Amino acid sequence: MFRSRCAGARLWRFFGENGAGKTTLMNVLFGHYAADSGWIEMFGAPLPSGNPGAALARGVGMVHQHFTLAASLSVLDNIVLGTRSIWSPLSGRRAARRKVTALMADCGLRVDPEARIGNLTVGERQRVEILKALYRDARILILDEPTAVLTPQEAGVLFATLRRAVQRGLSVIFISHKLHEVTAICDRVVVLRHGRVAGEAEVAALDRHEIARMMVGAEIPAPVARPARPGRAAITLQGVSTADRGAVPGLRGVDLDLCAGQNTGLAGVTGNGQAALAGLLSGLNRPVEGRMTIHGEAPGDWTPRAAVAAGIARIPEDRHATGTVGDLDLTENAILERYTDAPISRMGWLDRKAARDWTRTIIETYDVRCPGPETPARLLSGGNMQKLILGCVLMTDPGVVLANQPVRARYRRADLCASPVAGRAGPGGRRCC
Amino acid sequence: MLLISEDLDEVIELSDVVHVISIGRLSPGYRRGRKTVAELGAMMAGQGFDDAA
Repeated sequence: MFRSRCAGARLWRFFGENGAGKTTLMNVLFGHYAADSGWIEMFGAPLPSGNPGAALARGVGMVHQHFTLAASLSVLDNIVLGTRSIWSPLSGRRAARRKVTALMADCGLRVDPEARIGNLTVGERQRVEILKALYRDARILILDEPTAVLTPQEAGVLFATLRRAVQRGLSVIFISHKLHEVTAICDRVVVLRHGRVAGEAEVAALDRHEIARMMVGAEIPAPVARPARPGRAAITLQGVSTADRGAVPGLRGVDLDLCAGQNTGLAGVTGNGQAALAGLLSGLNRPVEGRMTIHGEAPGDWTPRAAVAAGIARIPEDRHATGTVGDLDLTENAILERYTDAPISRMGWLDRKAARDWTRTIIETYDVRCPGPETPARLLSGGNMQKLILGCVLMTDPGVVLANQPVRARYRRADLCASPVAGRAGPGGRRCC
Repeated sequence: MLLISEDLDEVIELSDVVHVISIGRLSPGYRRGRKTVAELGAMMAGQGFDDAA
């Protein structure tokens, strides 16, 4: 059930935990999903349900978290794509270009109209998405987690641009789960929890603690950092190099000790060898030079199966491509790496009840919101899919957890910190926070 | 846990030891608090790595 009103040119923030229903709500508003019940009224008239064309015509523009641009086309072509008949003469392009240039000057979003999308940075692509919406005369602009892909500097520029657009009469709905951004730019905030409105207020009248309380329904204790007690090295690399993949460098003479009982952070701009390191540790590639030991021994046949057997669990960067198999149900996903282990395997046969019980435990422990273990994984919202992956990883009691860009994938920091295993982490175990 | 991230603040907040990776080269591990955000940021841009490596 959802009831809310959006009035005038304001900057609104829909705000909530993972899996609270933010993205779902916006998809209903834009017509990607049809509402099961209820109605939407826009500028005083009802909006047909489940019809993105109608939403577009009424002035709703949406910038998805995952951009919807054609990488091989130019900026201008992407912006006008779908607005003109394919029979229209080429001269329309000049007029379109004039309109786009005027828009850019107007709202301060500058991108070279002839540049190819594939050559742009993520921040520039986001500008193109916003321009695309404004070109279609959007009066309400929906941005789904727009800062997730930006550096802090780029986010600052985006906020300034949105402020200016709002002063010119645009309404902006900003979906986010980052608390500190709310107080920075929004006028009014709506907090969602479990698909319901948990609260709604002027930002000026709120402090951050109150918003946080509305988000989770209780005060959140701040995570406490305990001193690490590093144990033995679980994985060591000595002078390890891996092959380059096209323009993406492999590792070059890397020395690394991954010790049990401590968190090791790897900072770096994407594309500097992180994928090579993650692939190496998960058994996807092998060193071409140097020495790798797992629990003190050089692995014989280094494969993904060997990595799983060695207790290396992964939270992959792309939850859709490598984190889950969308067409398999939750049980099948949960047992992918352990269907040959007891109690799920009994004398070579799959014990379906044990598999379902295992999945139910994950669902309950990690609060995965779903109809049940038989749900296909692709029907889970992003946040719940992440909770499933995290549950599968931590419930197997792994010796090493490889977390690749977990925050960009929007795992709640609290989940990473407050895992059930964190409490008994010592020199032998792993440690979260 | 090995935490790979572009967000330097997250890495610093969650890690006991931080390494920086740049063009396939890995820095030594720095214990919590040994390097400032600015120092680590400069290393992310490739400063301080031995180019012979």
